[in-house]
Parts: sequence; structure tokens; C-alpha cells
Amino acid sequence: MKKKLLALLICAVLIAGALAGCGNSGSPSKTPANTPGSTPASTPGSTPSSTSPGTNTTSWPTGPVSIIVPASAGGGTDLLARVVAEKLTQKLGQSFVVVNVTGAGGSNGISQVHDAKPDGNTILFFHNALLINKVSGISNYSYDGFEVGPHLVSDIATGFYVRSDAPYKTYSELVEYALAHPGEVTMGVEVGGFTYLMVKSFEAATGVQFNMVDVGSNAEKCTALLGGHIDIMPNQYSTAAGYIKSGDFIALGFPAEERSEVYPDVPTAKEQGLDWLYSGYEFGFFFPKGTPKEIQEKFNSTIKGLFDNNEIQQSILDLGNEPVYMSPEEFTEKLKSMEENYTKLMADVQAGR
Amino acid sequence: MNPLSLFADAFLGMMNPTAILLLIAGVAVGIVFGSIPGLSASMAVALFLPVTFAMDSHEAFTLLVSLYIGGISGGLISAILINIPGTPSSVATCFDGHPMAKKGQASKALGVGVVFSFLGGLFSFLILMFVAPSLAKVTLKFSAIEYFAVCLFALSMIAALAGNNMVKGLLSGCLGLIFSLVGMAPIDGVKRFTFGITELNSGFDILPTLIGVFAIAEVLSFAENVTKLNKATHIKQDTRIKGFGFTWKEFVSQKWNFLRSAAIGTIIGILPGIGGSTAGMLAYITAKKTSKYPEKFGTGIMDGLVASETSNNAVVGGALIPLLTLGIPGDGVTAMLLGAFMIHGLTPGPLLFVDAPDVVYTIFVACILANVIMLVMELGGMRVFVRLLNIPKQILLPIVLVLCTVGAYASNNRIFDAQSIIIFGIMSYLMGKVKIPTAPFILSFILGGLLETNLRRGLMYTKGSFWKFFTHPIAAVFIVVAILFVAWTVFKQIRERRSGKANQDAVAD
Repeated sequence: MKKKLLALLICAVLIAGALAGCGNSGSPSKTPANTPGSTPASTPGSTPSSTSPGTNTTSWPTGPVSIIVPASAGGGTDLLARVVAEKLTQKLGQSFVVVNVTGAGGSNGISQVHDAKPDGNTILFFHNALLINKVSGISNYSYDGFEVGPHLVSDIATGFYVRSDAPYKTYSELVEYALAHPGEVTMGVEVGGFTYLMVKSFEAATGVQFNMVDVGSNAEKCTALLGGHIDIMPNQYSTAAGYIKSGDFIALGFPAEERSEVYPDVPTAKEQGLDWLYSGYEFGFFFPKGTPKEIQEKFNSTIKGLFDNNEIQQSILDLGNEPVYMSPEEFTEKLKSMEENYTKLMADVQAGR
Repeated sequence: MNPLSLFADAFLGMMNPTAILLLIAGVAVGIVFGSIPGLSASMAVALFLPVTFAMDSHEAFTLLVSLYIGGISGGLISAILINIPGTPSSVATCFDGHPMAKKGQASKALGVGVVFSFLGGLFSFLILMFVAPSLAKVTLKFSAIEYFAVCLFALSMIAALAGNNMVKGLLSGCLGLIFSLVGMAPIDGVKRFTFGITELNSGFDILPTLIGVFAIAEVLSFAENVTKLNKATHIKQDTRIKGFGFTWKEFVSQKWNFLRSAAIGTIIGILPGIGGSTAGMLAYITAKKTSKYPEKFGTGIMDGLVASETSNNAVVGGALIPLLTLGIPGDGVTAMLLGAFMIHGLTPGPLLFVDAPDVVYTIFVACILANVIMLVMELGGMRVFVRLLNIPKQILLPIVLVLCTVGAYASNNRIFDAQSIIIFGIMSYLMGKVKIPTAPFILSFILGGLLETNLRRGLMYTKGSFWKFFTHPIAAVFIVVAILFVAWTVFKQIRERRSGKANQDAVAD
């Protein structure tokens, strides 16, 4: 008898542990992040038909809110989302939970938010990949499939990096070398991604042609460059920072109008006399279509309040990014121009093959 | 500062109530997550990652490392007792661990698993502390071409996992490869076998697949016999065992197996992206192939258990090597540790040992202490764990089923993953019915994606020429060995069949 009791007790403890764990990890049981029948997910036109009478718009949020991040836990996007989620929880009195939905280049998370009930309890936090996925055909929805929310973070610190023993140390030297040796400089990219289009825009601006090789994520690009498998890589500064400091890599510079506030020592391509601009990562929020205006406005003003009171800037800077508030309207304009650029680049890629 | 004094400083820094409490709590929570099928070590770390943001860097890494170590070793408990791996890393632990429990040696199996987990972990931590920087350079030698060759080599091991029926083994392996193809293709993102279902774009996730193949199938095959249930099914467990449950002589007999498995685990750990489950299976197969009595594997002998548990814990130390020295995460957990470094303003990589030696050595000390605490906790809890077997299965398995479903959902917060475990469960159950082994399926499913991605990347390097793969010495060696291994296995089977020995071997299937 005693044995049985003990055994049951162990069971109870195990279950309690599991439940406690799950409660923290997503508490998605309360948030209807998924439409019950998930098969017709691809049908466009979200259905805001069920505006449940319980959700009094002004009293939002009445329960936990999921911030869906289509990237894995611990990565740059995830860490930014967690920083904001913590502040939002303090400000709005309900828990804002970061939920990582990865896979298919982020389009899993994107379609999960697209199909979610537009009650303000599901919000997407993502960046340019939303547009690129649509342009390259991976995802069905671009920014116009959502109600665009406020912009939070800019990261212009993405540029090209070479090993310090490379025969070129600036963009002009690189262009000169690459033009003299067409197709010989091996560029490590993630085909179809943000940095891939960045390289394509560089090729379009300078007329050089690289030997493109897929090496995977930003961390894998560093390994490949360090190991001598590739000659040059496009990457975020923060990923390469350790190797730049140790003298293994050289940063050629960022394709931006002005120098980065976070990394003022890194030159721009423009000041090296190269006419090449490519917009960096822009992070912001997106709501499912049909989310009530009042909820959007409340969310927006809360984010704006964080900026006005200087409550969030430092945490974003600590992560190596630039805190930049943009209203939903400004952000939409920005997204629109970026999408046009990506569409053009992708068309060039397809025409070239 | 020399390493010894750094180590001593870190050790003394750890001797305060907060750090010790974090170590104990971390290992305990890790073991719970590891032992529950569906919840894994990486989930435990993901859950506690935000908690560590507010801590100082030493405390943060102490907690995360203890969760990782507890989680990886906790998987052996459910693998041995209910034949369901608690984490993906302990897949191979089921092969011999559960048969031991069935023979009434559950305590012994747990003792062996725990002690060799500890030793495997310790081995890799010592390697990590003393030769990390030079070993890390090996990682740099590996481009996509070398990774492809290693994956091909690991895949050729299916020949050994297939048992006596090569055709069924290959069938199972091919099924695994086919399922790994579902979803967007690597590099160009072409959608394959998705049938217009959006959820299939990202393919099947490894954790839900494992849950389906092992846990759901186990529940189904039990349910089939539930009406015949009576007291007779209860296995008398020998619980009155002193010490670790095995003799010194048995321990010594495992020394070469241990060293080999620990080396396999550490090396697989160093190579980013391959992971603990492959390491466990590779070590198991190698132990079987080099054993004097390969036919006894799968019937419940120590050797298989030692191989699996030693190597999957050795992966932990191995995976930390490229993370700390190069800033390259090798698996899901180390990717999250990389995030933790960023939050605390540190950049893992060549300068970490110069910029923040205190943090590095705190991690080393935390690894070793967490490993010791894991040993004490699991040995102490052994008698309690064994009691799990006293719970009637018709009560235990439904609970397991619920936890599995929750775990599958939590792996990526998608209902689809929870649904997919049912598909794989039924498939694995039917495979069991017609005696097709599931181990080749799992191995090729895990390796399929890696193999394909690296093949296609490799072909980009060589501009489409496969023969150029042989100009890379490391790759050439692995490819040739893989081919020879398959050829040798087939040749041996044909010869045995001709001499009529096949009948005798079939009994040991």
C-alpha cells in the first residue's frame, strides 16, 4: 500500500512539474493562437466574423498575450522580443509571453498569426524576412496581410567581412579585385535570405560577380570564413564582433547613409566612394487583419510611451541594435519601399538564371 | 593567470548558498524534464533562459549548465523503465536498458546508466578544460563536404542496425529518409510532399517524430494486450541492491567500451548540428560491432547501455567546445547558451578566454559540480524511480500519453506537431507488427536533412562535381569507409546464409 501511495505521489510531482513548466513556456492554453481546424490555413482572407462580445476593446488586455516570434529561442530576434515583452507586462498588467514558432524560414509563425483570432491576444514580432519570404514564394503573406503595428528596432550593422589576410581590405579594393577575377571570389550566403539579396544588390550596383555558395546561418558563415572555405561573407556585426576584435576578420563597412550609432568605427560603403545602399533589418509588430483599432492604438501608444520615457532604449542598445520608434504609418511606408526593392532584386535573380 | 588558479577561484566563487542552490535546483528540474517523455533538456533551458536575464553572468550559466546536464541524463530513467526515451539523446538507451528492466534488473540498469552518464560527462569536461582550443580547430576543417561524408558514414550504420533482415532494415531506413524530405527543400525552398498543407512546409520535427515512434507505439501495443492483463505481467524487481547495482568486475570489463563511447560522444559533440541521439546510436552500434558477443545486444546486457549513456553525456562537453572557443552553437541548447552570452554582454569566440576567463571557468566548475550532483541525486532516487514500475500501466501510460501530447505541442507551439505524433505512432506500431525495426527509421530521419543540406552545399562548392568530394582527404576517408562497411556487412550476411548459420542467428533477433 505504502509503495503504491509513494508511486502515485511521484506521479503527481512529475505532472505538477510538467504543468508548471508548460504554464510558463507558452500558456497558450488560454490564447487561441491556433484556429482549431488548421488544415484550411492556406485559405486567404482572415475571418474576423467571431468578434466575441466578451472582449471589451478598451479593457484589452484581459488575458495573457502571445508575441509570436518566428525564430528560435536565444537568437537576436527572440532576445529583442523578450526585452519588450517584459516591459509590456509591466505596463499593461497582463503577461506578454514570447512564443517561438520556427520552421519554413519563419513562415510557420507568420501564418499562425495570420490565422489567429484578431482579438489582440496574438501579435507577430518579426523583421524584413516577412517581405523576403513572400517575394521568394516561401510564405503566402507579406506585410499587407496584417495590420502593421509600430516599429521598434533598426539594425543597419550588416555588411561584408573578409579574413585579415585577404588581398582586399576596402570595398573599392574588393570591387577592383573581383572585376579582375570574375567568379573567383567565393561568397558564403544563405540562398534566398536577407543577406543573399544584399549580395545581389551589391552585384547589381558594382557589376562584379561572385561565386555564391550556401553555407547557412550567420554563425555558420563565420565558421566557413574562418576555416577558409569561403573568401567573404555578408553578416551582422554582432555575430562577427569577436573575430574582428581578435584580428581574424575585417569589416568592410555597412551599406547605409550614415554610420551606425552602435558601431561608429565602422565606415559606410558610401564614404568609400561606393554608390551602394541596402536597408538593414527593421523589426516591428504586426496584428492579424481585423484586430480592433482601439487595441492597435493602445498597443502603439504603450510602445511609444516606452520610448518617450526612455525606458527601453538601453536594453535594445545592449543587444547591439538601434532603438528607433516609427508609427505604424511610417513603418508601412518603409516596408513598402523595401518590398519594392526586394521584388526588383528577385526578378533580376530569376531573369539571370 | 594560470588555469589552475582560475579554476580554484571559480570553485571558491561557487561555494556560496545561491550558487549551490542553483546547481541543485537546475539539476533537479533538468532531471524531471529529461525523464518525462515529450519534455526535453532544450525545453528546460528555453524555459529558464528569461529567468537568467536578471541574474549575474556567473549565476546564469551555473543554472543553465545544470539544467542541460540534468536534462540529458534524466532521459535514461523513462528509457529504461517504460521503453520510452525521455529525451532524443536516450533513444539507444532503450535498446538494452528496457530489456534489462524486463529481466528484473531495473535497478542495475539505472545504476549502470547513471554511473556511466557521470563518467561520460566527466570525460568530456576534462577534454573541454584541457584541449578545447586545439580541438576546436578541427571544426574549422569541416566544410559541407566533410559533413556530408560524416553523415553518409553514420547512415551506413543502418546496415548494422538492420539486424538479420537487411531488406527490412533498408526499408525502414528509406522510410526515414522519405519522411525527412517532407517540407521545404534546403537552399532553394522548393516545397515537397506538402500536398498544399501549410503546416507541412517545415516538415516533421524530430521531437514529435521520436515521441510518436517510441511513446505512442508503446502505448498502442500495450493497449492491444490490455484485456489480457493480470498479475502475471508484473515483473519481480530485484530492488535490494547494494551500492551502484553492479560489481567492480563488471565495471572494469567496460573500460574499452567506455573510452570508445566517450570519444565518440565528444567528437560528435564537437561537430555542430549532429547531436546526442546520433552519438548514442553510433556508440551503441560500434560497441555491438566490436563486441565478442554481438548477438546478445538487444537482449538486455550492460554493454549497450554503457555505450549509449556514456556517449550521450559526453556530447555535452563536446558541444561546449565550439561554443566557447569559436562562438558556434552545436545544438538547440548551445544556441540558447549563445543567447545568454549576448544578454550578459559577452561574445563567445577566440577572445572569450581572454575577456572573461572567470565566466569560462565558472562554466567548467558548474559542469563538473552539476555532474556530481546529478550522480548523487539519481543514485539516491534510484529506489524511488524503480517504483514507477509498480504503477499499473493502464494508469501510467495514459498520463504518459498526455505529457507526450503536451510536449509535442510545446516543441514548437503548433497543434500540428501534436497531431503528427499520432501518425508516427500508428506507423511505428504497424512496423512492429510486421517486424520492421524502427531504429534505422530514426537514424535516417535524423540524418536525412543534414545529409541532403550538406550534399547540396557541397555540390555548390565543387560546382556540381561529385568526384571532387574525393579531393578532400577527410571526406574521402569517411566515404570510403562507409562503402567498405556496407560491402563487408552484405558480404558477411551472404556467407552466413550460405553456410546455413542464418537460422541460428535469427533466434537472437
